[in-house]
Amino acid sequence: MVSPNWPGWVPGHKDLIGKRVRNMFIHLHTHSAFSFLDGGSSVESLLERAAELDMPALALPDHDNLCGAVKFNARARSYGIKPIQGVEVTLDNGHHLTLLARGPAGYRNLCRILTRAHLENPRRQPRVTFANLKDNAAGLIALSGCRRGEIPALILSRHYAGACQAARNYLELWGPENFYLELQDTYLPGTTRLNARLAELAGTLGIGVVATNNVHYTCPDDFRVHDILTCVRTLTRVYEVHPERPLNAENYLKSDREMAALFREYPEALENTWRIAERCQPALDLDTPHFPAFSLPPGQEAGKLLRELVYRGARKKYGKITRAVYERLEHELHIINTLGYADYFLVVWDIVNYARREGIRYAGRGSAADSLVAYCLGITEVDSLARGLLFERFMSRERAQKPDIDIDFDARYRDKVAGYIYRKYGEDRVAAVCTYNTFRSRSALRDLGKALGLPADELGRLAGKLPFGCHADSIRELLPLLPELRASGLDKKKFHLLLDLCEKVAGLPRFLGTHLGGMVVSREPLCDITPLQKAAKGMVITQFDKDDVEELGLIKLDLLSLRTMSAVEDTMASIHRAGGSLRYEEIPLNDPATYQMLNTGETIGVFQLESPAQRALQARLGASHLEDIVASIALIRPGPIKGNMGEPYIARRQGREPVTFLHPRLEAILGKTYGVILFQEQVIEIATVIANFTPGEADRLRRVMTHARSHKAMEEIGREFIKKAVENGVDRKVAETVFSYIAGYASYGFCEAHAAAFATTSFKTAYLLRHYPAHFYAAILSNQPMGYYPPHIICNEARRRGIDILPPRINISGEKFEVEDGAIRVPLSRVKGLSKAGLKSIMQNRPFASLADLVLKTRLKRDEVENLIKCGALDDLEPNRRRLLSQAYHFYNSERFATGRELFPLADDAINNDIPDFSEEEKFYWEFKLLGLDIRGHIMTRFRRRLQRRGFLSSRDLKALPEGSRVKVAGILFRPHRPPTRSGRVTVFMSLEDEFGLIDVVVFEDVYQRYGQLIFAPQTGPLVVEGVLQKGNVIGVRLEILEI
Amino acid sequence: MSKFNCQALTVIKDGGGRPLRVGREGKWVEVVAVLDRWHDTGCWWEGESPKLFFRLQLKGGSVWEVFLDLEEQAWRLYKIYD
Repeated sequence: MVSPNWPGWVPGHKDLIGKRVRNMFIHLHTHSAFSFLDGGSSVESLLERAAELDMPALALPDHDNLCGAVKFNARARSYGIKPIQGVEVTLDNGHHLTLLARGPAGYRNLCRILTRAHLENPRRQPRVTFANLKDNAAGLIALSGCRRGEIPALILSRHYAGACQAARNYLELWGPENFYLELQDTYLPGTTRLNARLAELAGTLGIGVVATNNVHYTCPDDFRVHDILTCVRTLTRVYEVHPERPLNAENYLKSDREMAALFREYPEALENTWRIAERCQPALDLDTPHFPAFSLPPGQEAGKLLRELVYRGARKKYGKITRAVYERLEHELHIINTLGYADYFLVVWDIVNYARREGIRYAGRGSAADSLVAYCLGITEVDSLARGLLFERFMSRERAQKPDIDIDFDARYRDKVAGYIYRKYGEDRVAAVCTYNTFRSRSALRDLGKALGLPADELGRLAGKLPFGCHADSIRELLPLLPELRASGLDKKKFHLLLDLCEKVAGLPRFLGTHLGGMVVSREPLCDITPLQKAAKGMVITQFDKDDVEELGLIKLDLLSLRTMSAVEDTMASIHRAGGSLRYEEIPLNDPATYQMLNTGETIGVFQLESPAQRALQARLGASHLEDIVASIALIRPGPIKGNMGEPYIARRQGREPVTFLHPRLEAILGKTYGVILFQEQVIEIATVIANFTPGEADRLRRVMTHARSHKAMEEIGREFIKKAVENGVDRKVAETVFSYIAGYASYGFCEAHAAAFATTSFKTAYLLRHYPAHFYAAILSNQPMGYYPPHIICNEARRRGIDILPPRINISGEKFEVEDGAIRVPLSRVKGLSKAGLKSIMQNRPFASLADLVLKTRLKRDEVENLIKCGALDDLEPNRRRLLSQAYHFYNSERFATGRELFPLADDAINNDIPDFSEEEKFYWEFKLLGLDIRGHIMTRFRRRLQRRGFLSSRDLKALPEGSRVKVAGILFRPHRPPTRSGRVTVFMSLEDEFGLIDVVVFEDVYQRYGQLIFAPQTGPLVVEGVLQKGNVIGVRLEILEI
Repeated sequence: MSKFNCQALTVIKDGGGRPLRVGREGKWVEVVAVLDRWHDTGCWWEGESPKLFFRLQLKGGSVWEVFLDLEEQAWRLYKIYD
């Protein structure tokens, strides 16, 4: 008789005994979409159905990974379902084996087995050896697997003796208690015989049998999703056969009745599901922190060392430790030590210390800047005490989330820093964090369309019409909204099935990626906590994403690559080479000339302040101190734009609107933002001061606002806020209004510490642009891709500021953009097709006297030489580029060149010296094609006279015109986009580039519906916009492509 | 050898849906054993209906493969093994 109790289980489960009586079957072989293209349903969907079926437990052995384990654990508990962790591994003979963890020890062994299988084999081909199983067999129950399991496969191929031997091997490893033969009946040919043989074998060897359904999706309807994903995985078209494609729709989560009917003849197989489930306990240990350990000197304690370092830093920063500094530091240190984060801070201190020692530029960002301890340790430049920042936004005893420290490093050296961490803390204790790349509209359309047999070019064209990043289940909703999508024909009948399937796969994981900067450092070997595997670039990554690693007790560090840091470093080096003595750290944050420049909105290249929206804001805000920059960074986010926060802020900032506060207690909190709620820290403080929320409750409010965005959750917390505010002596009406402001602010909260950390870098880069424009733009151009604008726009802006852009020259240009007599010289590295080896050879062997000299010394490939000629890099050797090309043709077709013998000089008669050079237009074409830059001036210059005659205005002309003027402009379209709006109506923002700069254009819904096809389509010529000038933008009313 | 066929059949089933007798051209034959059965979803992307196949040992020794078209709920003969 099976016992109805579940040892050690189950919080929240109310009716286990009842379920026991009704439900005789537990699914022990279930795959979710985390089997990556071999599962058609999400963990949530499977659990929801399992709950509907009254299943008291469910096992999730996905293929070769545990990626779903943490989410499965959390969601299963919320449904009152016991989560059984497992994995279906691929053995080194290609067969499958199902492993279930009986508890935490078993889970640890699953992690170890998977880590070895992944790291000891080529990427994406994890294979488990028998030795691996033997070393890590404890705490596991093994099931013989699906038809690809070793034993079933041998029986199906009629190798009964082999099957018997294989079963003996597993039996010897796990014993009869922990090894079962799986019986499946998914209506496949040969099932009856296979199950009979398996049962016979079980009887012979004394092994138990267990019924499973090899579940790959929730409901029969989801079969199509599983099949099409299998096609994607196996690179098969639907009309092609492949052995891994499922034959039918039987692999769904069947009810216990259905399973009982299928296994009438094997009642023990049904009962064993229950027995196994009973023996498996929830396996994830979520209570033990695995924070990194800092290697301390003998006799030293982490907390004590941290205190010493913090006070040493504080004395450096402040000179004298004031009472305020002391109290704040003590408060923070107390919380840090209480929560056990002292080692974590020491590790981060160690990392930035390393960067400092190595001269690697870095800047702390994110909520860590709320910490004075972080400031004193040199992790961030933001003085949270001086700014009045709230430590509890970063860390509190009640805060559910772990603190997150983000540091930007010079992009060129970020990997060097990561290398230091691996060396210092142990390769087995450090890993990058993974991301789950999920199906979005474009990827779904491409992948599924290809599997359905649609032509790749047609799919590429259709996918290109979809807004970037939109959900795969929103394509149908977008069709009536986006004219360019309608025009693409995606609403035709032949795409109906494709769109149906896109909706089904929306959000399902597609492959495992690598988080941009997230790393975990653990005090124990990571393979005891998470399986590890290789990423595309060879680094070791966890099988859990950033949220899941935190759930498992790990703590994440974000080491980010920021090219702005590289550009700053290059700018400073260039300034110093030119004899300047500026120190970046000493750039004055109150420089009037820099604020003056910011106020013009001419900020292309400035960190975080260069987008069209930021330029427009800067031109209107009148920034005069750093606080304005901090606010600017927070204001230009989708939320505040959607919430129209900018206008009241600007009006109050400029004194055109009175600054009022709903309650006197709000003045201290909202004073610095003129009564407007701009930062998350302010929400936390308001909740604390007005509603008497604890820091933990206030942080929950922040998270509901910024993450959950659920209307219901907001309503609930709103009722609590108002109730507690009234209890705190605040008038109900006032409390309701305050909360309505908070609710209105929801979803666009921005962390002040983060904005402040960015603002410092923003201002300093603005300073560099204002005082050293050539050095700064040269550095920006050398560190592409970065920022908002492509190199040709940066060059155009440099030219507008009076800086010449000099063409590449074989004997002068370097590897980077360099400042040369106040101008910027284009480097040879910009020349398309020039290899690194070729560039190195040029640098080592120059100067060159002739083309022959160049070819002979460097042995460049013919394409490389031709590209150098076409883009003008050899003009100093011979100004006629076509003549040079002719020479090159002769050189490379010469037999003597091919055999490596000396062949120069060529006889004069070998070259046609009368050959005419390229026309100006041809030179322009080749330069732009090969350099991505318009060296000889902007293309619009060529049309300007004609445009002027036809009444077109340039970007320069617009500046002199009054508000409301009707204008007609033309330019090269740049970056049209449709950010979310409060009304939900589409508004398109875009820029037109001409020889004098950028014209920012706004197109509203009605105009967009008429001209959307022109905007979101491959551009065949400059775009013409007729419209009205408003606040520096052209509000478009009519669009066309300029005929040239 | 086997012969492909797609003739309509009449089938008498038991409570579990297993064929007991098959009728073809007015003649009935008793099913001795269900040797195998499988479910095939078919070309779902072309709208083909799913089918439930049975391999039947009939009285007299012949083996038939028959299927039930699950949308039409119609039985058809698929193959006969002489």
